[in-house]
Amino acid sequence: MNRNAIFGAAALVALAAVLAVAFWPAADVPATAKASTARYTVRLSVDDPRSGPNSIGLEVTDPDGGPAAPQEVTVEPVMPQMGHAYPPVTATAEGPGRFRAAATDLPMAGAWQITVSLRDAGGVDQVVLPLLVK
Amino acid sequence: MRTLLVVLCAIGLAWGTTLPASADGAQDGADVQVAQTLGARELTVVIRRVEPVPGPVHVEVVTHAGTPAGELALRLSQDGAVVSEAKVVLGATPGFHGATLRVSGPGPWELAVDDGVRVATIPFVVPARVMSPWQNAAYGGFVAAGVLLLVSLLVAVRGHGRAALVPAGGVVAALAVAVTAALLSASIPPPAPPGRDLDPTVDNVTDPYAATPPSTTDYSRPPVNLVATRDGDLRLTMTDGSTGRPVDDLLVHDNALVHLGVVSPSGRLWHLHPVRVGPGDYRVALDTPETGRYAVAAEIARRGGGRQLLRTTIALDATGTSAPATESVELVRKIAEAGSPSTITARFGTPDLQPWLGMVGHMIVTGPVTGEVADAPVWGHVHSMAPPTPGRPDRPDESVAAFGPDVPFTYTFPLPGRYLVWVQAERGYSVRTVPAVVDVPAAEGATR
Repeated sequence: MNRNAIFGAAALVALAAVLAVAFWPAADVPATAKASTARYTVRLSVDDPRSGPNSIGLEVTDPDGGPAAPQEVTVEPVMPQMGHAYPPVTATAEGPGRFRAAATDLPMAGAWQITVSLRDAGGVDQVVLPLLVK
Repeated sequence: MRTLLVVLCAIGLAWGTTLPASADGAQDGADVQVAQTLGARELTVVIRRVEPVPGPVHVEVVTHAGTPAGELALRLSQDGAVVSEAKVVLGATPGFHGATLRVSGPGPWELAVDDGVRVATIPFVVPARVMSPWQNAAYGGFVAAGVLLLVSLLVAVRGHGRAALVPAGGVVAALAVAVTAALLSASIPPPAPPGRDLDPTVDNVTDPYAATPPSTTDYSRPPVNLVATRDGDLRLTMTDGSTGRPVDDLLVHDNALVHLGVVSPSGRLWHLHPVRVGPGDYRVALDTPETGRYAVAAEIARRGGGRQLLRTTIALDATGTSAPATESVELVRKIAEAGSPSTITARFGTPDLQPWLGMVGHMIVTGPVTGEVADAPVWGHVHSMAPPTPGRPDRPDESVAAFGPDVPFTYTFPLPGRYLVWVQAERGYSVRTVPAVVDVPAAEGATR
């Protein structure tokens, strides 16, 4: 009887472990996307994209992988499926090759396209990055 | 008793070793066939089905009669970074010219076809092998049931009769999960396929089930605005009607990204397939033998469904003397009055036609012509379909030269008057164009 109890307890612990592994909430990973033009590589990162104001982090590098310094970086959100475009947000420099477009309004859940325009003396480079808002 | 135990163990082992069958992909990889008018070459680029990844991608470039020999550079890139390159040497004889490239993973990819002057880019999606959660639950449930069955047998054999009830209960629970998932999974609709309905990303191609469902079930997108200009090549600028952004989500439909019809003032037809050189930027080489206003009609399909016909006109100066070749083939006409179906059958004589753009024949219609051809109100593009081959979802490619000889088209001319009609079919890797003029009588009395 005692052994049965021990066995039952062990089975319950095993079951609990299996369920915990299966249903443990995944850690919040930031949404990221990357795209390149001939002159720049842009890496976008948004922690927990939600409908409403979002803070979009951008890492801009040159073809050698070093931080790039375009004169102006703007973020242009569009929801292609709905045909909605929202006002562009100018990103502020945070550090070498690092920019942030704070309070970018993405008012709806769904698939967004974030066009990042990088302006410098040579012209404008544009990359289009996907962002899924939950 | 012993026999019973052996049988039970065998069943348990059979269950326990059930292997997940190779899953049905969320998107079935079919060949991507894209017609491309690259400079003076009319090519068909065939991207053979891609799986498993990472792995090779076979690309074939089909040349047609009159295609200049030469070399093309092919490049596969993802997110703007080139992953694989190959060269294709185009011989003087029309046919298939292959190359093998490599993809490093699933997601959206771009194939660049570079002839040294122009670079055409073809976006396509490399699918991932995807298991649905229901499949996982079914397989996992059966595996768990098998393992628990073994456990309960072992416990029972060692004489702990009551304790064996605990894993036995688990067997029942696991079986219930597996059977429920297996039975219900057939009726659960698959997620919207990235590429066709959703903008493809590496994430949603790799796991279409993880992406949150969009707040709508209507995936269709706004209409497209077309501007035609000439800058050496004929340049088509496509922008979204609602946002003004470049339209960069065209799908391959009827084996091309854009089917472009251009009609000269005297009624010559060009049926071309502009190449994508950038987002919303399509170009095609066009040598014009006449000065005047040309009719331009582009057929496209945007991601999310629905095809669109974009029409405009452009005034062009003569740049040369070369005009598209035509030939004379017997046309059997059964022309009904406006509003009723007419049938035009082209008799090509021998059954050796090759499918062009997935169809045995194409008929382009414009009219009624009263003044300038460019002002004709009606534009039509009629197909004569290849009969489907049972069990082969793919359409035959141009290597099958066995269609015809009669190519019928049925079309209801909406208005009475004089129409310009061109029947097109491919033979010997050469597109044959048969021009005709059709007079459509007015319907007698009112149509009720």
